[in-house]
Amino acid sequence: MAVKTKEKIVKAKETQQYHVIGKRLNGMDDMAKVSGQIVYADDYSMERMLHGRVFRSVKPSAKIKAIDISAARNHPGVVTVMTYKDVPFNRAATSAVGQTASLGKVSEFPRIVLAEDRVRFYGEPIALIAAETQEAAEEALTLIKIEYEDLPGVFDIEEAMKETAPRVHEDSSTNVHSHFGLHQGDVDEAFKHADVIVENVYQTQYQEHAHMEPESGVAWIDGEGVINLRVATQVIEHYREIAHILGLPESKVRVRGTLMGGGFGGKEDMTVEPYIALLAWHTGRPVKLTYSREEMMYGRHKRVPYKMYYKHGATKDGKLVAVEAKLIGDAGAYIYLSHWILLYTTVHATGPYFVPNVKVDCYSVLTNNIFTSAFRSFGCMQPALGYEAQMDALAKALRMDPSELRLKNYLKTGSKTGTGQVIESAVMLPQTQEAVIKALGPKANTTKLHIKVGQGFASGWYPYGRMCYLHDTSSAWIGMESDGSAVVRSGIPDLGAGQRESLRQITSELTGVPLDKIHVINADSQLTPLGGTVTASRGLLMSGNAARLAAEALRGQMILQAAQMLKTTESDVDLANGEAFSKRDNSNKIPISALVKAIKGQGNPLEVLKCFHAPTAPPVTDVVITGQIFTDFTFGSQAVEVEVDTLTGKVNVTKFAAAYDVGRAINPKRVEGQIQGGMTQGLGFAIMEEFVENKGIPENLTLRTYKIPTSKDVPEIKVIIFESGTGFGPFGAKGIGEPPVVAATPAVMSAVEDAVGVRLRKSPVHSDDLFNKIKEQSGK
Amino acid sequence: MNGENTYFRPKLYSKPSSIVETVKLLAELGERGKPVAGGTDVMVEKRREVEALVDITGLNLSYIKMDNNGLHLGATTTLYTIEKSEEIKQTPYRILAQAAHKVGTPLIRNMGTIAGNICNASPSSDTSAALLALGAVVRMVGNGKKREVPLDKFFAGPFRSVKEHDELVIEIYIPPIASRTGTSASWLTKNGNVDESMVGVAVLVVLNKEGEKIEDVRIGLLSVNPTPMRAVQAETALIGKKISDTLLKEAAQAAAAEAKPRSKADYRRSMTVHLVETNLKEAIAEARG
Amino acid sequence: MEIKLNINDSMVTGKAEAGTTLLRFLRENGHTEVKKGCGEGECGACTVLLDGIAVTSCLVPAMQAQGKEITTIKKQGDPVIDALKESFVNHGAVQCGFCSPAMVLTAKWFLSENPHPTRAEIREYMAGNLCRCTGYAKIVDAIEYASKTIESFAKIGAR
Repeated sequence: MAVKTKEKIVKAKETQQYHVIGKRLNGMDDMAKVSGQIVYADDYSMERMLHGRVFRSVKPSAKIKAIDISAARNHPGVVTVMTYKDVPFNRAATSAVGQTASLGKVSEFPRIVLAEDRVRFYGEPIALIAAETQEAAEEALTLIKIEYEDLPGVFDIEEAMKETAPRVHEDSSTNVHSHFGLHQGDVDEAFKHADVIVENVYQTQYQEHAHMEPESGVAWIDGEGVINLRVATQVIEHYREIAHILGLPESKVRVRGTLMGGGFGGKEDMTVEPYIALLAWHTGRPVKLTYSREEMMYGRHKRVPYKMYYKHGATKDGKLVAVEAKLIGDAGAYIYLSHWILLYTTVHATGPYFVPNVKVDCYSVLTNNIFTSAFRSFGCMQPALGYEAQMDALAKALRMDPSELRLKNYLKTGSKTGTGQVIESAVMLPQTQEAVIKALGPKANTTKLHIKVGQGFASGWYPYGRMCYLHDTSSAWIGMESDGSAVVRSGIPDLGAGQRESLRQITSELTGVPLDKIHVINADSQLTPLGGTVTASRGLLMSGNAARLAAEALRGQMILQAAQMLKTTESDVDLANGEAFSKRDNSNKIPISALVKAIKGQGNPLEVLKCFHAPTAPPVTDVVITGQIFTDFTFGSQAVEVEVDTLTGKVNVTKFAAAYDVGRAINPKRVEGQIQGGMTQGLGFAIMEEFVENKGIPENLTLRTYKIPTSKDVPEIKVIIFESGTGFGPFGAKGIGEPPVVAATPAVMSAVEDAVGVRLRKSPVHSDDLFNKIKEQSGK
Repeated sequence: MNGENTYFRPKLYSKPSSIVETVKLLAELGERGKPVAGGTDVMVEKRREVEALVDITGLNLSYIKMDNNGLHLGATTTLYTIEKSEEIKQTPYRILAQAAHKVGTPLIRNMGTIAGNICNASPSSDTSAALLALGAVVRMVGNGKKREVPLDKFFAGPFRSVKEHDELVIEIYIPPIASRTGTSASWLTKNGNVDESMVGVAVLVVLNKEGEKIEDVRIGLLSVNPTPMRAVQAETALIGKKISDTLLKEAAQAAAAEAKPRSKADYRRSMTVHLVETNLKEAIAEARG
Repeated sequence: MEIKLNINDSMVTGKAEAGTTLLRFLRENGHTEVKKGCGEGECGACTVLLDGIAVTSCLVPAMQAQGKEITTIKKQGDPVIDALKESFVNHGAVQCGFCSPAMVLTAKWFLSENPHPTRAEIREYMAGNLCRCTGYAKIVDAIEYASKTIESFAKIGAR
């Protein structure tokens, strides 16, 4: 009997009977992974392969007056040193990532592949080296001579917003590259009639993805002149940008995505791709480049820190009447995905609550700090710190139970969000709230007077699927083999959350082919139909639905044939366990292989390619966002119990519970794993993780100085899964990859307030800060 | 950045089989030679000037010996061995086992050694306060010389000790525990539960026969000063005095005042007061039996 | 220079300089199952057993590993490793898998001296092996379960 993680699944009223959907299956790659058999990106080597390194800026804002690569170039073992002059097209917009609509702002201030005459952040790539050995490449890094002239930089977002601020990009009129807003009703009028108003300022920090596998890839030119990349990436569609950079047709670049050792958005923008492609193309030899852990810290993006001004008004009965907010995010030196992140932030800024009057303005500001971009929950985790704290503050002002206040204001099916989008699926916030509070149980007793125990909860929301205006698509191909086995091809990469596994399960469910007879091939931009990115919690919605469409088409053909062969009606036929059988009379059955042979014998190859189209919407062109922006949302709650040592300010999380409506748990074991992992990243954000830059100079560059939760930092976790069956994914599933990161931090802050009466409005918790505030509090 | 700290290319690896051979080699190499046992500092720092690694794990310096003469820890005894030593844990020496447990992670402790931790001379070395409180003495052998340096004279500055390049630490000696002795130690970690210490305190008290006066006391502090230190003024203020809450509080405040923390100074001083006070009380309770 | 190391009961010959880490040697001599996560002993992904003891191979000079038994996850016929792997897979403790082999080896090490760990003890022993995907919950489940089946192996001194 396997040890059961403490979980419970509360099924939707209509429980469907599935063959494999909903089963706690083992992942198809799991044994290979734990046995060390998977060839991750850095595990791959080729003959005559060179080792690449990136030479980076050590100035946050400077002119490059001179650069001398001759000593590096002549160093023994070095084959090439490249600068921007060697790059055919030195601009890349993290752009055409699997969608068909126009990009707008995303392509302004595009990524500069290799710095030209100036650098804008510490860590900006300036030159590339390829050498015969790792040592030679490293040595060459120290031989590049560069002369900088410091330029004024700007490191504070509110400073950067001023007219007088130095421009991070000289030819722009402002550092505020994006501005989005929500506007409903009339907040000024509404506040006049509010019985209680709470206003506060919040601040979140930079968070580092800290996936265990560093960015890595190998590139080479094959016999037909195609640039091949075998790389850890969440987006194989980057082959397009790589082609542009090299000045090649898109059909001449092929990206194979490896099974990743974690991504969380860290491998969503191009990381090593442009460099290995350039070096391979330039030298004609295979090139491998793997980031060092230090390089991951200062050379790759972080989660965007936000400063958030919130003002909430409510009636004395606890109904929200108005929210006014201003959120400012630090984009760093280049936009990357900041524009879209800002949009997400704006749409979610008021939380999963119905607010009749809303005025929200969100800004993303360029600075000379490290650039910020995608990180699990893409701009929606930061506002949760604010909006949940505001709800607790209102509850306190109204002397109302915070749970009750939430219940009065939660969105419901049919509610309109701040953009006016109507929510179509179930909104199980009340149930998830109840479940997590119950899961905590009564507060633990402490024997020590100076240790205070507190409980807190928070609710959150996050969309699954990308913005509708991107016209997202995902294709999948399924082919039946004559012996009754099947092959599934989908471009979607797998970052360890079971993307491949889901495709197998869905295919098995609908075609009846046993799981172990289905082979999934994914993430090859030239051999697998493009499935889109593994981001935005879109895996199930998009690639899952694509597989479903293809499997359903095959199913239709197989059932038609089976009905004939079994001499019964189509509605009487089912497919499972490798057989087609009559539901009325189970003994009337044939193996699927017999079906398939018969169908193929008629000239039907029994292969289907299907494309799933997400719902579409017009592009967002105004500052104020209106209408349907996302396909749908995932809702859930988390609760924590903490111990606060009032003599040190140290917070220890002792109980941790989460509940989400996932629509349908395709594989509950995997769903739990996603939730537990996301909760833990949220926990890290709340109490220990903080990447720090001081005037653009990074301070912590190692895992010693940037601490992520260890097994000793995470308490026992309880997960409760709800299945409303109302999601737009296959079998009514919603996306669950990102939502579990959102609610942890506000839950911790709420618990700390419950314990010691201090509400921290800045993440992460710093013991010294809490200690001082506790002292102040008791002095009052 | 840019390869500067990855230029670690020692050319010589040597594993001498005798101490004499070792110190001779270290003398020849000077600052180019680095003794390595567990590698948990040397192989992390990857100092450019290190041209030779002198593996000292072949010198039979991994042992724990406890007798009437005190506690003798071989230089290359791993932190894990010390952490798990039942022998040590049964006695007031146990604060050393607790200190060893605090260092890094189990994987690091499986390799990291007690002498390595001391010679690294980090201001926040987790074993340092306990060793100071226990009155540890560092026994070194050099090329044609040998000397013993009490630990409180061993640290010269942040990451600097008085150990010369040609000297090898061979043993950490801790004097025997007098009767009516109590020890206590605690650490406040920075982030989460597995991290460097923000503040660390270790205390040893010896009480008089009636148990109401302090006959002897040592207070070790770490991470609040350029080097691990003894709070000597606080100690002096306690010796011969009748125990009272006020006395302990004042001593704790004196200890905090002696420390020179570099960052978050106010907080570190407050925590020093708190931890010194708490640990003095615990140690006294233990001493009273 | 060339050195010979005993890896999973096989003698492997390869090049090593004085400062070459065991991790580097392993990865360049056919053992890419040992992962490099940070190179500074912080993440634990490079864990191997050295004479049965779990260590971060990125900090061990390859030269120092001469004469020792090095065990990686690819060791054949080890009932403890097999039981742990099976338990990891059955409990859903493997997501991206990058940390998983190292987790198994660390668990094998501490189960040999503590065959009945509590969940809290498991968390203590595993604190040097970082995981960013799982939140550790199912890893602790897997090790706890495996410890019950492995107990008998520990008794007969299997390594």
